[in-house]
Amino acid sequence: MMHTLLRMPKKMALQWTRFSILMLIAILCLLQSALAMHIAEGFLPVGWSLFWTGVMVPIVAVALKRTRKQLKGDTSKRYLFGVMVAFAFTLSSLKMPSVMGSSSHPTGVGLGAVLLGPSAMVLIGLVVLIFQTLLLAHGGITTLGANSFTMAFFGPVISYFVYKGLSKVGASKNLCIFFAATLGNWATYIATSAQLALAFPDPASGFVGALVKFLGVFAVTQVPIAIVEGLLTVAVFHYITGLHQQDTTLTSGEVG
Amino acid sequence: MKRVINKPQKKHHSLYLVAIVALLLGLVAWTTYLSLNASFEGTDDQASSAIMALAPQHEPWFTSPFEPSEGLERMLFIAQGIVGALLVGFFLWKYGKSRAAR
Repeated sequence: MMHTLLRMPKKMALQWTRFSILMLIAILCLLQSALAMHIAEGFLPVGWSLFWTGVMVPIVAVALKRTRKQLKGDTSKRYLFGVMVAFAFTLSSLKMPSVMGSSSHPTGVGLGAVLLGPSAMVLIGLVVLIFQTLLLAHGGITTLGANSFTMAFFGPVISYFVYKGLSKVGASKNLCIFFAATLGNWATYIATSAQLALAFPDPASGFVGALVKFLGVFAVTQVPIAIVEGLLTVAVFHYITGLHQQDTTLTSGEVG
Repeated sequence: MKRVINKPQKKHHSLYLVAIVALLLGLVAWTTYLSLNASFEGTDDQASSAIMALAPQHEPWFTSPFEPSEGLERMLFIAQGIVGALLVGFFLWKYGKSRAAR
């Protein structure tokens, strides 16, 4: 049986199986899902580039202060921070082809948002975005403000609250983390579409018309990517919370 | 559903850790393989096309000083995936050790 093969307790194997089935159903229901994509270099008008950069400066300043306090003197939390950076870093390298002949990649921000809180994720997302901009010419320096707002701030905040909300109503941990990761990504791409629609409203139908157009670009590509990101996030989450043993306090994220 | 948190088992944990890293590396290999066999357009490029359709007069006002060739870009993405997966394993391992030391 699977549990002897994986050397996990029978109960855990059962949970995993049940969870896989639930997740498949969830995916079939959602049918369009999530991920983050970045606005290409130079594509956002100067005014909007400056606006989003201006929005991000205070957010990064607060996040820096809070994260420094959070990690101070806590070695294991520092390692956890390292895990999150590496996880987001790896996932954003996975360019996956998808339906409609397009490709995109997951971001891995949901996991960190739940385990460390949205503040830490602002910094982690920013680091990954800067790396992709400078080394891969993916995203851009001029669009860094807008891209980091969606991927490093808005998405993780949604993940965090989805997790908290679902935990409160008593959903299983697996479902909580899966939907946190998925909906966090969803939010990221909705926010990106909104940013683009604000900058480029449709001449005839205005903001809403443009929003529909941009959502159309991102909506169909996301199904397989969400599956992979959801699965990976749950696997790593299981490992980390397994290490916590009875100590479940940390899994509820950064409190306060 | 009630969650049961299992008592830690050392062997189970290290196996799990290896499995996560292997899974990530497998995904890197898989996505590379797929990208070698098919050409597809990224959503970022599609969004750029949509912008062009909505605002034909709009020109990108800044271009990155560094545009890697397609081959180099692929190599960089692979390198990012491999290094990232190994770092995930390393930090998870260190994290587990520091938790155990508590």
